[in-house]
Amino acid sequence: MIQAICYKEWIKTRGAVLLSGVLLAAYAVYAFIHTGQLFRVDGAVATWSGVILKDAFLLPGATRWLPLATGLMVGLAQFVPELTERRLKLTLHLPLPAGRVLSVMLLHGVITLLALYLPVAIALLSGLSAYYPPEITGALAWRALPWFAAGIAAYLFTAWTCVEPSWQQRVKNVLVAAGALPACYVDGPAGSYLPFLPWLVVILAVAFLAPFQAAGRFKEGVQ
Amino acid sequence: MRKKTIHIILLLFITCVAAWALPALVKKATRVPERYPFIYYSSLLRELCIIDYGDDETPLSTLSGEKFSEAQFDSLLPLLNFRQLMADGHLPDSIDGIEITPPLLRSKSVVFRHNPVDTRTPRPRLHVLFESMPRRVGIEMPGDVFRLEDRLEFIDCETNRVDVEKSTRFQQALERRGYRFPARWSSGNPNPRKAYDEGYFSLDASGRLFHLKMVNGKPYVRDTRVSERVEVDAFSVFEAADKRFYGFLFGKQGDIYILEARDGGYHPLKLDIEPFDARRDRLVIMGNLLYWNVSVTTTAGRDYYALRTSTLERVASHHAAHAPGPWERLSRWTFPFYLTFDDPDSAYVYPRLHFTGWRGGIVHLLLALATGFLVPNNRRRRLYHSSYILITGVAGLLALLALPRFITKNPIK
Repeated sequence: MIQAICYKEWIKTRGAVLLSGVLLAAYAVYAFIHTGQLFRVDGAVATWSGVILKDAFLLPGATRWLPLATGLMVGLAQFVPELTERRLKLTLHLPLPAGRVLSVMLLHGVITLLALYLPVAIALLSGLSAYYPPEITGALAWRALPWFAAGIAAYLFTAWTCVEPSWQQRVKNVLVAAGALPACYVDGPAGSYLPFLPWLVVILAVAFLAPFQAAGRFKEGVQ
Repeated sequence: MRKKTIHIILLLFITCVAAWALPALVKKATRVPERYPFIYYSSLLRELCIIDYGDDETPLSTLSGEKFSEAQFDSLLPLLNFRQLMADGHLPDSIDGIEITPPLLRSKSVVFRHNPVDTRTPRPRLHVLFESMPRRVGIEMPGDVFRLEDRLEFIDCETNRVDVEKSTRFQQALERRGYRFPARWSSGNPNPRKAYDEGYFSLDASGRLFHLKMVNGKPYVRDTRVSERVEVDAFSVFEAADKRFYGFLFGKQGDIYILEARDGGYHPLKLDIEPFDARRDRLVIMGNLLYWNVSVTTTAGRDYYALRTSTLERVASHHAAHAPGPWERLSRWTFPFYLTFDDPDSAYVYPRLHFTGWRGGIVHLLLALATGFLVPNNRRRRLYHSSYILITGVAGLLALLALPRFITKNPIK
């Protein structure tokens, strides 16, 4: 049954996953072109100095928003059909506890996003380690981590909003998500987010729980 | 997990989001920067004077209220306005019996700023070591950077590889002088726009402060022995034009020193000011040939000091009390507590709970009463909502509004 749910989720999300994968791969290729250009035009000394003296961010600006966009895209692809075609009613009445069904659906989305993000992150970090020492690539990873966490949180908040049966409440859920997600985008130098990591976990844990509240309301028949 | 538990977790979460987002918006809409007068010590009047550059008629006034015209302003503060006096041909030959010349005035000029965020920020793990005595005019960026933690290593920027020969040379020089690894921290001035470079001051594992620089490509390492006299908290390298001192040393007891270069040694000279908290207070030093003007901004206000340049003894001081701005006045009533993730005193991101006083409790009480009497719900829910709002205020009210069943007769099942 769980395999069947996963297959159903894959059928719904494969288009968005493919598009996200293409976007992320294109982004990674562009990041390498960008880095190569920095070294060719400015030179290694000036590029390293920019990072060390001015805390310059070495990756393209899209790094901030691409994880968020892909999280939203996968979330919408997975849960909008449930919303528009009332499929969720059938899904939550499968011969499995509703909580388990929803958990499988959400874990499918989270694992899909991790499967999209991790190869890109590993490719970037290992590729850039040819240009930069571990201190610089490490700082880069710490700086980008909250943005990737925002992608997963955006996916979970999208699920929360889509599963919610009442339109009025959906608007409120969007407002809450819009209030919570900027916590992943506070400006600071590389490494400034280190004390915030436990709180990122809290945000993700709450975002994971939130769709269960909406599913409960859906099962109650709230309109 | 039970539905009620998820509801409570969401309620607490949204309360935290509201306790951050709403005050942040209100703060953005109402906050104005702190305004303190610019105060400078007059070597002729021998007192601290207030300068208002916006006042064209009488830009200078004494603390007692006596006002002076623009022409008098230039003459009464010759060490601040020497460029203007030079242009007008009115620069005096001497002040206090000391002959003054423009090169001397320029070489004795000191401008230094310390922000708490300089201390509370992720420390850079890679550093740039310039040639301290370049053959040509101006400092040039070297082709390598170094890390100083468990060992000292230079990394070539072009190849991204450790320069083993140079690293060994510098590592051995440190070890010969008794430097104990791992390093606690290293502080330097990586800005290449300066006349010379004093390298880095590094606190070793045993708490001793070492001076490391590169002279003609060779390592120069000295144990400053300052730690025998001062418990060193932080150090800011400052390449003074007259090479009188190496930088500003912050002691753990709140004292600030300059580290003087005398007789080939390192001698801390204390600034005669009240204890300074490098993690909270702001410091601005504007020094001239005769006096250093020091201002320390704390949460209570700004303290101004005039110190004699030669001895750094205090000759005058003044305190300007902090006047709360619109945000502070408003937050006392509306947000007795609120969250922020960033802080002007720190570069780190994490939640900080701010408490503004008990006055806002009145607003909490009014909101709780209004919820209890006006919002339609059953008695049990009204009591629960009112109690929650009494504790959490506007943030709690927003959280309850954001969740279902704030205005409903159906209890949570």
